[in-house]
Amino acid sequence: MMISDQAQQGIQHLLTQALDECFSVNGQLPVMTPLTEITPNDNTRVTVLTVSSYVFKLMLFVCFDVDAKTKQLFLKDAGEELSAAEAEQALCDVISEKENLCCGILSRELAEFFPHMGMSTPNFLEQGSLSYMEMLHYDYMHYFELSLKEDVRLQIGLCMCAYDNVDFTVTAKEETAETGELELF
Amino acid sequence: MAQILIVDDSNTVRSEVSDFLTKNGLSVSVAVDGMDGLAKLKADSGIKLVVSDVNMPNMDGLTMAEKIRGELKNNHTNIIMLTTENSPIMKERGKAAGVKGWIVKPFKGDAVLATFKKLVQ
Repeated sequence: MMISDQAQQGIQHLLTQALDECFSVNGQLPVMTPLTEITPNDNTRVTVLTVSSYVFKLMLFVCFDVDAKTKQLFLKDAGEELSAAEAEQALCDVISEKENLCCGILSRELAEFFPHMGMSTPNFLEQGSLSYMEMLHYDYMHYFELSLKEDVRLQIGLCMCAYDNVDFTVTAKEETAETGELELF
Repeated sequence: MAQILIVDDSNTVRSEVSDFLTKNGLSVSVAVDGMDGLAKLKADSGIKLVVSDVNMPNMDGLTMAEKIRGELKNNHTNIIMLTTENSPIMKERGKAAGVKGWIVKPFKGDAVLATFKKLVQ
């Protein structure tokens, strides 16, 4: 199956918007740099979330290191009161929720082209699973590094498997969904 | 007794929402998924409002809402979904289950506080 060039560009554009919104720190946008692969170390944790339609499945892998600067950036001073295990759990929870928000934006934007979008909850993978990404038989894969404040770096993998030809064109616009407002029925 | 039950599998969201509501004078309890939410609601008759995520492990928020109205025969507790989802199909399912309102994450407390206070009176 084929994912057209403009569909790939559209996905990248939507993902960039979503990452900017979810991973900005004090107004500083993250910087995206292409990677050829994800290179984990012993402290790397991997969370994955799936956004699906009838014609494709898109998986977003977010890899981050459990280290002092990452904890400080995401947990701030609250991390100092926690044990190492609690701080790691809190860090995993904060980053997976940011990934959840990011995929929520992607899902809402893609719903403009593909009705019946669905999303998983975030799941954590053993980092050894990254060696088996090829087994996903994806039709499109994009790796990049996300540089945040305080020299914190995340490695991101965007993997898309198509069940039919996928073609759509994203026009540059702000996200349309109102967030945070209560819609009463 | 709590006035509001927050149901979300993310500890980050549970903490953020419950801290905000508690600081603004509301009493809150939390649950980690729909099954836990049902159990907490059964155990606390004082809960006036359930604020729940949709996508959660074990039991999702819309199934929980259907069980609150169906199995628990509870038609008086207000239910609001707080979720990244914005699909019309899910909203229709929520409406059919008696869900009172829908908020697309992220949570912006100031935008909803006054309504939450009315719903727990």
